Amino acid sequence: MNYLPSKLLKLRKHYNYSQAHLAELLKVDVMEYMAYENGRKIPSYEECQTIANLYHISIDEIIKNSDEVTLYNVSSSRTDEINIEYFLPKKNFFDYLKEFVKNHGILVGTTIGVVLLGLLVIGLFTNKEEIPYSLNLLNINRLSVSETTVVYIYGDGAVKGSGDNSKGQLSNLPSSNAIKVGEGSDFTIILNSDGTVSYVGLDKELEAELKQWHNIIDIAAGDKHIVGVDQRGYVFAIGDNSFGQCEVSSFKNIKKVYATKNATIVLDNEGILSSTGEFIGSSKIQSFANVIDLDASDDNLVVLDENGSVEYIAKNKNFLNIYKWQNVVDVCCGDNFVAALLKDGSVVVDCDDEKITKQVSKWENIIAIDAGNDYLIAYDGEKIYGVGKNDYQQFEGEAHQEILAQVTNVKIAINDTIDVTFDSVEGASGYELRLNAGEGNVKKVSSNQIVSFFSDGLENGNNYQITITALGDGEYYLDSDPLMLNFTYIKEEKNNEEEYVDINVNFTDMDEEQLKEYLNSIGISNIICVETASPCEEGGHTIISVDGISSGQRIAKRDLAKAMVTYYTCKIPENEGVDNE
Amino acid sequence: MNKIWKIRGFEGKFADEELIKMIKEGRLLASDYISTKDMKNWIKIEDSIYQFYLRREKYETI
Repeated sequence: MNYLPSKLLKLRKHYNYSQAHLAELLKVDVMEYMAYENGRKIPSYEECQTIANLYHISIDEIIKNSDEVTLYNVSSSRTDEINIEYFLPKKNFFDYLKEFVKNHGILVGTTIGVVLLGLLVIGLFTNKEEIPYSLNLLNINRLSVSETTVVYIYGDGAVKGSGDNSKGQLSNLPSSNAIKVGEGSDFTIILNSDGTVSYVGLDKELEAELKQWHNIIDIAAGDKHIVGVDQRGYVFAIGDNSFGQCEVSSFKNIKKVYATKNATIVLDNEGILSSTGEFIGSSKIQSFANVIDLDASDDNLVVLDENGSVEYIAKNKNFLNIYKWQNVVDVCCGDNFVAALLKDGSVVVDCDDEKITKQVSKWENIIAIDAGNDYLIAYDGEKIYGVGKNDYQQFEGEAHQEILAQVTNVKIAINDTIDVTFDSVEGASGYELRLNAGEGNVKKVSSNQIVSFFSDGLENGNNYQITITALGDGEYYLDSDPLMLNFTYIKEEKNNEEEYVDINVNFTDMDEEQLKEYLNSIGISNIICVETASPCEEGGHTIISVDGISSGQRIAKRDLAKAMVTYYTCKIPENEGVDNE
Repeated sequence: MNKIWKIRGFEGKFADEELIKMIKEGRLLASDYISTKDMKNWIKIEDSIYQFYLRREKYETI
């Protein structure tokens, strides 16, 4: 039943509008608007929007086929929000007629009035809208996946696919008229809008057999078999019958068919499932009632009933989260997960892998889901999203993406600057560090080098936070969750009376032991010796040169511990040692 | 044509006229969901005013 007329009437009467006023507002003639109120026509979406705006209700309230609608009390404060112009006295069809008569004379006016009324009467009794013949198609899902391919229907019936095309299963996919697709291990089948089924792949026998199928209302593809049901409810199956998956002659009054790898499952007009072939749950399949959808992987079976409840049969796992799900409209499963599409376009997944759960939670406005054993696919009407194994590049974009791990081993050193060091994260293209003080305290670096923040603006004794995020590349890796570290800023007390050491020795006059002893005495312990190839002269000094310190230099005592000295020696001839012996 | 309709299971957006045509041709079903950016929720065609365009015999079998 069409409730729009009663709803429109209820609204118009409540706010005391005339049909003519509504017609004027919608920029249609009065007859057109009257057709909306008497149920002969439906206003366009744009007109529905205008109506919703006029009555200050949501577009959902207009689009919903119900006579329930929000009516605001015109004497309440709510009326302040409603354009007062709409409460002015309104003209109706006869007001306009009277006005026309007044302006154009009674004869012309009356004639036009009679013609218009005649048209109205004709319109009331003749609704000759031609509706073409159509098949009884049920709950068709336009997305299908095999273990190696993803195929979906977009726009008004073109088929697109991605993944393994080694058997030609994705070649020459039809560009129109597709209603449903099915993916086998090495073929694609397409249900066309005229009830025929097309085959894409290399098996000419299957292709020839499918050409005999007509008036088909649903199809499904197993690994190596194809199932269809016609509008009489008869089921057909061709292909591999190793597991009895094609023994379908006993099925009657079927409205929908499913296929797992080696089995056929059928849904009859009473909402009862039956099956043939081998799959998990084959012995329990008939216990499900009022089923509207199901999916099966090698290890799991998930079923959705008309109340939106999800049930499952699993080989090894428990999927208890599914019982919390509400407003489910579609289900699918892999070997380690069960997923559901919710009415609001989001997807939920019961899965041990938190990364998958997290990635799926970001998907929105999804309109279809399906799954292989090891991956989950979602479709938002614009593009395909995927998560899980993608060995055949069945999906792109975010499908490859992983969330980076957080940085580890972070050290914060408070010197003149706040110096931060951390270990690198595999896959990170860079790092962003933020200090929650001052301005411009955001640093982006490409590697895990020391990152320094100026301490200007930090107050001694206050707590601050540094946040570090490993940055993804936007293609394969997503940014890590930020790691937050708190620290207390203790300002380094500067020693106003800096102590210095004056270096006033000639190092090349010393031997190695003397040099080391001297350096240690002034606080330098980082000493490196490099022997050069230059042979030592007899009786000469062994030290050729010294780096890192020089005679005449003044060094602050606090810097000596950090100083590093390298001295170079000449090469002592090997036979010197022999002579000594 | 103003393409405003999203149809669950279809890629892209559709104009009002296209939506109506697809319903009339039986390519959309009573159980199909539709929505627009201004609508808060998806709605089944059979629950919307667009059920007007469904074939009566088809609509009743679902």
